[in-house]
Amino acid sequence: MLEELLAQLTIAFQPWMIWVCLMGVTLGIIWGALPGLSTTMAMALLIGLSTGMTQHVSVMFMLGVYTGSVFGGAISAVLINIPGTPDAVPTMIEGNQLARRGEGGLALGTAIMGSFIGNWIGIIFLIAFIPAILFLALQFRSWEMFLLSMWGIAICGSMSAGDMPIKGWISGWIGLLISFVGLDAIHALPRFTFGARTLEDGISYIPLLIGLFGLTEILKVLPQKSPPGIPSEVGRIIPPMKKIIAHSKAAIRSGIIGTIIGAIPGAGANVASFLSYDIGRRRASEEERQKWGKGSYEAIVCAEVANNANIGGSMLPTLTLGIPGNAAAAAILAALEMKNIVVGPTIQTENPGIIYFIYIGLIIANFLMYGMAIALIKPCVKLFSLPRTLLMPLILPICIMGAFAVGLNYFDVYLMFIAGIVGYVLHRFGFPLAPMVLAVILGPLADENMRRAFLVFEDKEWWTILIDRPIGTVLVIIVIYTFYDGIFKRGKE
Amino acid sequence: MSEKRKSRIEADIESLKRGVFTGEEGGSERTSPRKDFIASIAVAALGILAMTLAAQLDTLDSPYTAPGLLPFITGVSLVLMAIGLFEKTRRRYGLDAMLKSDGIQAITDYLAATENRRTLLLMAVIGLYVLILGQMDMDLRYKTSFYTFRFSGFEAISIPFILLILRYFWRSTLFNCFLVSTGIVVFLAVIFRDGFQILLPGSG
Repeated sequence: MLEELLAQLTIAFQPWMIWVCLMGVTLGIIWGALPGLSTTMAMALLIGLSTGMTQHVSVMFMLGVYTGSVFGGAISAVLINIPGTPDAVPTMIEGNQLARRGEGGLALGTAIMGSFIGNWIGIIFLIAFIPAILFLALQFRSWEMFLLSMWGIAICGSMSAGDMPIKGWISGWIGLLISFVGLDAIHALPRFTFGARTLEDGISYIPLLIGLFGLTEILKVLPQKSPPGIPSEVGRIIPPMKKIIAHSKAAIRSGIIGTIIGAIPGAGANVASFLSYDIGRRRASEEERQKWGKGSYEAIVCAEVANNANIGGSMLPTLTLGIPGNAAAAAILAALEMKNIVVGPTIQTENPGIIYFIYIGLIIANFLMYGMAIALIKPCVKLFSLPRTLLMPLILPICIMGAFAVGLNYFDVYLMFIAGIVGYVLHRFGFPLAPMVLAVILGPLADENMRRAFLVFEDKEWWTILIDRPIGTVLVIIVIYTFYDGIFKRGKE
Repeated sequence: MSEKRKSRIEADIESLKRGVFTGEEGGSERTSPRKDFIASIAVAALGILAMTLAAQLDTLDSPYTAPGLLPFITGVSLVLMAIGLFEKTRRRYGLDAMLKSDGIQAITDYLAATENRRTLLLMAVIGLYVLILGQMDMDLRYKTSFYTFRFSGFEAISIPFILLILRYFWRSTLFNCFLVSTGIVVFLAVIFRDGFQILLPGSG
């Protein structure tokens, strides 16, 4: 173990690796800071750029992008009152009030520090819990893997569709149908290919991801008429130490919330920051509570710590079970799989040392994020003066190049375009997109494992499948509860 | 009837004030009963189609490993979900609101909104861009002692299309749009092709 760790440390601390991570962090911060460009979009589009990189370089780059883009949203939220990413809305409410009072720099400094602490909490939890979850995951057989995949899609649907979980589930189930296209894994029989040989390889989820989160966003945002933001003065950035210590309790609580939310499939950084913001308000002292909504540093800490701790949390199920914690983690999963890294219970045996490399990568990215965040604030202010009508068309060639680069197959570009149109239509009809992507990833896993499990139980009574395996039984109850909760509780709100 | 739309930010702030976490897409556009009705019909049709196609697949040696097993179950669940969506919308808004149809007026209203027209136009332009780029197979090279300059189908098609989109949406001068579109397309091509050794579409 120590040898593996040292070997990964040696790779990770090569100057080229640090440089690549810095590039990822910088692109992530800028991308996240630009209004309308979300973390998932950054991840989905920059996968294309990572196709030419080697395995470790690609992982380091994507971790840098992830870490940078989650923070980036706070910059525009505080300075121009437009959140760069959806999870920066609470930061916007508080930070912009402070910016108007000339404390924009300090608000941003607090956000940077909060993000740094949040990342650390997420990383610590990731390192602490991975061995236990991997041990548990190794006990999983086909039946459990099938149930886990279905639960992942169901809970993602529930978490991402607000008070209409059924729409989230429909989106997920449509994703399942998409995942069935191609040769089936057991008999190599073509399914839903309509005789087209191109479809026999199945539908790659990277062009789908780029279409749903890149092109759809362009179609949503570009036709809107939006005035450019007016940058504010920044002022002092680094917050005094006593201010940080004063909010340490809120930071730890928010970090735990962010990590747990991150580990639940479908619950992204925005759910983490919203929940932490709300709990923070309820738990704040009377004096502090008066400041909420009018410019509270503690509120910024709550939101920023939670959305950054979400990164470590989302990596937990992604690495150990192959089930992405959120749409951005799905992009990380895609990048890992593209580089032949098999995620899931056997990650440590099939890719020795890669988990240590990811830990180290996240730590390096966190330090670089802290430095680059401070350095990039002023250049970002200049960027905000650019209208979205100028920025959005420039993303279009990146969508096309990214979709093509994955398999050097132009069919993927058509797929990306269709996914973009479908994503736009689904958005107009109020369907969330994240469950669909998750289902396209998990569909083959669910299909193969369900049929294998049924074969194992072929000679037994059908109901024994429900009680024969304790972990499976627990998962059956969880799946049923997820649907029950969605139909009878959340659905009635 | 054109619907009043809330921006993502407005919806997020509203949900935050209410203390309700609307989730990843919670701030997305609120739908109308009519839209939910159309969605439920479309989803049911998709479910039935999936069931039919799955049932046509060979069962092979055992029904437990039949390739169409999960697709069939998925189709059945989609139909049930479509019924659920229909029922839920009916309970919330009533059948009249769901079935209320403005006929051709709905399409006229949709097209009357500038934003919708711009979206349709953008879709068409991007579609044409993707289609034409797919037909391209060109890679011109000019070797010098220090660098090989390349101009491929990607640049040839992307520059005019990005220029067109910028001109319509950004509304700057033609010269500015040309400078930006050329600059960004060439920059991206150099980064992807020379920096990361990634083949570009349309370059043969």
